[in-house]
Amino acid sequence: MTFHYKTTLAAIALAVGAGPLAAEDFPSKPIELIVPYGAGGLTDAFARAIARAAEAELPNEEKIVVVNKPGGGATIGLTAAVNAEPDGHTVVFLTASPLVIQPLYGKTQYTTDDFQAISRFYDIPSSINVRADSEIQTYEQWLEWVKANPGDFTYGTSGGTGSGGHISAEELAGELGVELRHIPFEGSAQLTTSIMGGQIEGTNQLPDLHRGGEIRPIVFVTPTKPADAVYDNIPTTRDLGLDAEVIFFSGIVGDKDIPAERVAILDDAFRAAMESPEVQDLFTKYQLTPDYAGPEEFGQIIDNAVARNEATMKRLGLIE
Amino acid sequence: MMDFFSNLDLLMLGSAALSIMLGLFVGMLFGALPGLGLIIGVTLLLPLSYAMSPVNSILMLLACYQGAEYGGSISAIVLGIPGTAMAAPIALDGRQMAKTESPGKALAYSLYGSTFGGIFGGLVLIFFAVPVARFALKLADPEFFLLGVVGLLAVATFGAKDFVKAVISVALGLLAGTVGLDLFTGTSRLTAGYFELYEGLNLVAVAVGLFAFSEVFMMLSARINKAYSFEAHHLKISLTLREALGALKAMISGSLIGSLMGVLPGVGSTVSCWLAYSGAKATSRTPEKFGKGSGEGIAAPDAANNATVGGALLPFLALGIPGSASIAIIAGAFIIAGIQPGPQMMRNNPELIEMIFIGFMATTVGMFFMGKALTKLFVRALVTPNSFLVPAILVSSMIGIYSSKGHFFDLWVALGLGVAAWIMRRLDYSIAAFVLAMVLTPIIETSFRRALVLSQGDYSIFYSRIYSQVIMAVIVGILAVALVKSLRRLRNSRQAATKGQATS
Repeated sequence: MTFHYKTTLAAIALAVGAGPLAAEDFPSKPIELIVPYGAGGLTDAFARAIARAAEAELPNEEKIVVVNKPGGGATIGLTAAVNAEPDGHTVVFLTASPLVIQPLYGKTQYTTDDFQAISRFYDIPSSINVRADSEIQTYEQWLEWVKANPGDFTYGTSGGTGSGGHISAEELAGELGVELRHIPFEGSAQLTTSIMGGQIEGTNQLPDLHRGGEIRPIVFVTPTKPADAVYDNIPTTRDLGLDAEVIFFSGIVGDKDIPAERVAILDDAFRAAMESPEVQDLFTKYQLTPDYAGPEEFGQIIDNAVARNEATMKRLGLIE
Repeated sequence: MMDFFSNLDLLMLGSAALSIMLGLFVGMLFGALPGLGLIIGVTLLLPLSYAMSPVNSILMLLACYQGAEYGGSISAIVLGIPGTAMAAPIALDGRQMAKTESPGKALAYSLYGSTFGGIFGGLVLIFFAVPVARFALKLADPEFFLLGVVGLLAVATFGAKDFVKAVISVALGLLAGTVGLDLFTGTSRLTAGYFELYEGLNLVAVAVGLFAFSEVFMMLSARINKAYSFEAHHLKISLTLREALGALKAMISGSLIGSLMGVLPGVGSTVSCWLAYSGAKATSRTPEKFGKGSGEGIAAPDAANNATVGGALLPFLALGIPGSASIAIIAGAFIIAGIQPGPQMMRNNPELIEMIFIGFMATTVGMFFMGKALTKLFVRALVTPNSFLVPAILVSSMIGIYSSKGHFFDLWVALGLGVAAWIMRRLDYSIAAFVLAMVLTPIIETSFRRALVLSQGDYSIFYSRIYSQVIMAVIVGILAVALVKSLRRLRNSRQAATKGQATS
């Protein structure tokens, strides 16, 4: 009798357990979210917060495991993602450069087309900056100055030659018909020190005026600005009607062969995760504007970025 | 300040003390285990910090930083394996003293030096944060280049057995330092198509290969069951007052160098230890003891190591610029806690700054006592036979390399470098010179090239600035002293030779 009772229970449990499994078998194991950077940075913080929040939204109560795979200018993490089984259980949280710049140099083991867009969460703003105590105060003054002194405006970027900061500043210079001089740096600490110490005239980076910093933005090369009110009067290239614009997006992409219905499940979970208090809190702390885009719109952004970068990189002689 | 103390309550104090102790413990443990280190320790503590109050999480991470800087010296002294490439000078004398004289005393010199340096760096941070950070902004690429050159001159103080071989070691190190993507042209150098090398050789793999693996190979080629035996009192971590005072000058100069160098982004934490070692040797009354187990040779770089912590924190708190890789990780914890370091924080949140300052001093004092307690256990490693030590070192090293970046590739790099280093050591090439040159190359090369890009090819940028003139004068001074010393030595040996002939 007892035996019978137990088997019945087990059979019920099995039936209940198997129910949803038959309806939708994705995800059937933990999802690996590759972060192509080391632990502890901004991208890593967002990836972890979104992973935690998206777990609650996924069917089958599967976990999302964040795996840091830094190195090779973030290309190693993307290579790992395309080499994984395209079943939707491996996706990558990335920023623009490894997807829409690095492959154009033709050395990575993947191309931009090997990936498909899933969800975009936010863009990182970037602007051409000068020191706060500089005589140049506005975009007009800056334009006048660089036109009068061709090649004298030195600007630093944290990524060096051929990085997103370099390419976007040169795209602006090309559109304006002015000559700027690029000074490469490694990392934003040395870059910020150099502009504050007066070694260089300007930078192309995220300004820090909102936390009492001493770097004044002149014009944003991105369509987005940090949320703080101190930036309200600073124009973007889009405001000025200039055909020079860069989007340093952050979002999740996956292998191009992941089935569409699985992409939809993932996208739904990530979009819902953006609304969680923890993720919203992070947006406030980093002064970033949440800006969701689904697979289609995000895919468009990626295609546009590749076309723009290719044109500028060819003009600069970085690629053939 | 009075407000601060009146606001204190016991619970808050208790939880802060616990956070500091946890940070110190993890830091020391990870610092002392070959291959594991600060970055892995901090990464491990980060998730925990989400659940803590902002101040406690920051104190825990700072304590971990302090603890790891000291922990790295423990393995340098006890096993001859420095935790990081930057801590290599501590192994020079620390290992000698531990083997030949007294391991307890060697560790005590290190602990006293570390504590002194930590407190010194903390005081600089508390009293001179803003002016020092402002001054540091004035130093630029020409000075960084020259500082790198001064660092390279430190090779001369290592007491290499064969000068030509030391120079070859430096040349190889310079070459290894250029591996990776070239910042100025965007092209890759010496990467052989491996993306794992695009950001340069992984420093964890390099340190493990050069120090841990080569030491393991040395152990294997010696008697495998060898263990040192010491009388109990040589295992006690303490110094007599006289010994401590004897190393005081070295500690002060080391702390000064460490806290000032720590302020310079990217440069400081790399060179401070080496500069402190050569600085202490140059000013010592007994320079001939360096390399043979000099207490000053242990205390000076160790003081510099820990003084760098306060120094590196300074531009971060005062200007919002995280100056070293370790501070950059800790910066993440600040932001997650909703704190934006910089001039605004100094103005708007003085009570937070005060708490960090007081907590920072508490970490150094805590480090002293925890160091005394924990180090006793680590000394046991010296009296443990190699047959037990070797597998333990290998396991810890390999976990450390893999978890630093998650590439199997780095394990092969470490193995290759380990074999190369073992051969180099047997042939009397200098591993210390190699690694020093390697870590200095990015500083020397990029500063040199960037300075020239900025001056549009005008070399006068290296001597037209007042700060570079000062450093130039230091370089000339070092070379002059070295020349005078070697001339005097030559004359003495000649006199000795002629005397010898006269008597015979």
